[in-house]
Parts: sequence; C-alpha cells; structure tokens
Amino acid sequence: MSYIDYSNNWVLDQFLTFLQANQLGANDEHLYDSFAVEHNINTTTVDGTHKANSITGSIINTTPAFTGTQTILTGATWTPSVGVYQIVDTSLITTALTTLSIYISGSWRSGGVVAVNSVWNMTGIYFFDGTNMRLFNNGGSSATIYYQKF
Amino acid sequence: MIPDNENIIDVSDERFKDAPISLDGEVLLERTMDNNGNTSGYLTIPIDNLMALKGKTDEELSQMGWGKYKHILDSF
Repeated sequence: MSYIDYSNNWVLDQFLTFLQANQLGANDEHLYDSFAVEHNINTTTVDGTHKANSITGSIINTTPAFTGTQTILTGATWTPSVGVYQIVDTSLITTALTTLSIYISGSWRSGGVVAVNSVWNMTGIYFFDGTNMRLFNNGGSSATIYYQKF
Repeated sequence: MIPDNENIIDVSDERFKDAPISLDGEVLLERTMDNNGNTSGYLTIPIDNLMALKGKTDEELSQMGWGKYKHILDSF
C-alpha cells in the first residue's frame, strides 16, 4: 500500500484489542475452570470443599507429623486423634490381643479374637477420625503400640 | 448399675466437652499427648471391662500394667 490511513489503523487497533481481550478472557476462563475443578465449584454449588477424588496418596506428606508409643491396658481402648497412622503392635500375641474397633449403630464393633500364635499382631496403615475408630486390647496383658502419624 | 465417679466421661459435663461422644459413659484413664502437648487421644475402658478386673490381686494388676491406674479401679 502506498499510504496509511489513520482510520484503518484505528480499526486495526480495535480489532487487535478485540483479539487480545478474547485471549485474556479465554485464559481467565481456563484458570477458572482449573480452579473450579480443583475446588469442586460450579455455578449452583459453591461449597469451597476440596474435590475429594483429587486427593491421592502421593499428596500425603511422608514426614510423620509425630511418632510415639502407646500402652493399651487389658480391656482398655485408645482413641487416637484424627489422622492416618502407621502402626506396629510389638506385644506378644500370646498375651495381648489388640484389634480395631469402630462405632456403628450405637455400639462398638471390634475385630474378632483369633487363636493365639495364628496371625501377626495389629500392624499396617489405619485411618482414625478421632471419634468412632479406636484400638481395643482384648488380651490378658497390656499392649505396646508404636505409631507414626501422617 | 454404673457407679457415680468423676472418671466416667459425661459429654454433657463441661469437663468432658471436648471428648468424643462415642466415649460417653466410659471410664477415662488419661488423655494422651503428642510432642506439642496437644491431645493425641483418649485412653479409656468400658465400665463392664473395668468391673471385670475387680477381684484381681495387686500383683496381678501390676503385671497387667494396671498399677498406675489402680486408684481409679479402687474408686469403683
């Protein structure tokens, strides 16, 4: 072109601004969509909760919040505070029988007592809500529990 | 009959307002603490299990780890 018309430039500027605004809008929408999925937000239910199925084991901090030991007396129970625990019961199974006990329909339901020397003691990863889940020693002597809370 | 005792968890009592409701009526032996001094749990015993321990000798109770809590057992 041999000349530049100011009015055309003005139109071009407007067009570019329109494109940029659209791109910005698209970027914002993308950010919002990502945020909404992560935080379980939609236009009808904005509850702010974290989307449950987005939490995987890899998100759990592998450094224990604290570690400890707990003695559970014969017939007694220990209700840990809420958390995920890795537990090892070092008691001799010939005398201490520790099991998981959960509160359902108004009563505590405990794992059945099996024959002594037939299984390993209570070990593994357990989740506790601080209220309805606990350990119960149904044996004849006190049990010693080592645990790491995550 | 459940005896009247200050160690029995009563969630309607101000002293036990932070205790889990599922522990209502149980005998509180002690609150456990984490490294930061926060409550990390509750060591309790159902009243029926505690009454079943009555009649054991002091030596038997000590062997079962109950020496530390014998005064609670004796209060029932």
